[in-house]
Amino acid sequence: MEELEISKKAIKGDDDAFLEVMQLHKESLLRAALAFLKDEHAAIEALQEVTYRAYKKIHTVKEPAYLKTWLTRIMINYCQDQVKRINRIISDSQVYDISVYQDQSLIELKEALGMLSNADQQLIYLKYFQNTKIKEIAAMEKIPEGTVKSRLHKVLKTLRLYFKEKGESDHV
Amino acid sequence: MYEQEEQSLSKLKNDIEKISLPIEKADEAILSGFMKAKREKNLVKKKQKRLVGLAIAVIIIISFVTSIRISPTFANALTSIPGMEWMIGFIEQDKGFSAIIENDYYQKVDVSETKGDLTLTIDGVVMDESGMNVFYTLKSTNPLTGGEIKYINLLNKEEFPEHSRSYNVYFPDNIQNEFQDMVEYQFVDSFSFDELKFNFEFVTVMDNKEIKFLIPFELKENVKKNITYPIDQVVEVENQKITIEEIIVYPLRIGVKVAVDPTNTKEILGFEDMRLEDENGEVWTSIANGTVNRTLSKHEKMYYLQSNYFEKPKELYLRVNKLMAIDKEDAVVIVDTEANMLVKSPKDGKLKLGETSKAQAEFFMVSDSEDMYTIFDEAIDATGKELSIPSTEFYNHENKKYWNMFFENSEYENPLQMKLTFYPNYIEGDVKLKLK
Repeated sequence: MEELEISKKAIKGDDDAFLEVMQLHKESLLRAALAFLKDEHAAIEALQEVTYRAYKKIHTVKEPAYLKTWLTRIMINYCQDQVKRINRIISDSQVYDISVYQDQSLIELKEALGMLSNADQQLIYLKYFQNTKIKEIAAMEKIPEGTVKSRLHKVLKTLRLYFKEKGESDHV
Repeated sequence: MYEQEEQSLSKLKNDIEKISLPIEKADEAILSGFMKAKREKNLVKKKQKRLVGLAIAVIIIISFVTSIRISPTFANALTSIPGMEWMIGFIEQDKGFSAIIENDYYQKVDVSETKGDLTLTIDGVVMDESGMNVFYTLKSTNPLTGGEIKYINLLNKEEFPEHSRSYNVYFPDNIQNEFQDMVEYQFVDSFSFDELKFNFEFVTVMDNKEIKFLIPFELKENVKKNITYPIDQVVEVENQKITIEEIIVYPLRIGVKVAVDPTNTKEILGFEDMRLEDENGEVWTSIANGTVNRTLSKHEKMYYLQSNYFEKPKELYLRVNKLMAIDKEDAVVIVDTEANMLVKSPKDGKLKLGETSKAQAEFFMVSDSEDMYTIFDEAIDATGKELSIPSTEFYNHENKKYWNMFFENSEYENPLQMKLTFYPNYIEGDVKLKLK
């Protein structure tokens, strides 16, 4: 069956189609979780919770073609809430379990992304990690495409400034 | 312009894509998330009852908390009627109902009809001037799971008076080959039939197939007459004036007819602890599972309490200490379902808007209470057209309570005005009226 057909059926409340949708997108959802949570166990828990939330809300999805993005947004929102909670619990001790793959500059990038607002993190994730089209982001957020573009620019600028400042202070 | 940043981002993306994923655990996680949601959905469905036949607002409160002490007489009465044990669920929630059993007011019917694998039995009936409760059992040689009830109707030579009807639509998951339930008819005004011959119409859907039953039965005893106390007294709670007009005691329930003063500054949404109290301090509180009130006119409502019909108290008082009330200017919520905007809501800001579409609107608020109430019965659109809300899904998640309402159709113009029927805001006082 076509992905779009499955999505439509899932939105209408077909349980099998719903499970199929989750199968189709589980990898990208897990990767989103790992990008924010940095821990496999937490990512699995996140996937469980997102499945639960998605099942309860899937009938509210208006555009079946955007189902994957819709799921990703639920995941990111959940992860951001978790991160906030974890930060409250262990103030600012940062753990990177997957840093084996990363060189220093990427750790810095992740740190930088952590400084962004939740909305901006979500925007960056959708655009650069999931290659979501600007048009789709605009539709999901109910804002004009131009606004998405200017927000992206602003975020990239913030990132650049962050590195610039950091670079300067590192050299002092 | 920001090529360097974009490149770093895409490098990070590639890194994340290199991580090997715990696919097996992921499948388990999906399944357990799905099962959890499914269980809750079934729970909500089970608690939803289908209400038919009334253009009058009815609030259903479903609660499974109360458990009353079962007296020895009552235990005896129960064992004397074989097959009655399952009714304990209903009886435990209502003092009036246990008194009905103890006083032999339950009429055994025990008439069956078999269609293929299915046998439907009318076990018995409790009837008074306020309504009729019909207890039935559906048995099958195959599991009943997945089936549902399409339609239940009672017929008499006489036309039924204005009434509401409620019954469970879905078979619970935990049953096998047998389903037992009660159909509740509640009459708006006191009523009794001349002839006690009835037909019980029952349509169930199993494996997409409709199965119809039509069972005739006859009752031996007609209703016991109600006891009416004319009161007509004005009471006051935090400057809100309320007239207690009359109290009607039936075996199945007590109706307390109340009128609010149109000049009140607050809208009274409900009585939290309205009760009858006798000289020994024994109390009869509101109906725990069923219709708790009924709107009679703009300012008049009937509130229902558990019955003490079969008791003979020396003294009897009506008491009220806590009312649910909201400032009149806060009593109407305005929402635009297309813009997903809460245009007007109570000033304390507790009520929040979730996702909306033309067909549906979700509201939520932080609340620890597990009780489920509908918060709105109907909406009025921008052109003044009334729009009913035939179904509302309730659920609790974390510390929030959710209402997801489905409108009868999407042919309306935003914004919608909706009158609150529930809101967690209270006023307190001490009302004590002597009935006898």
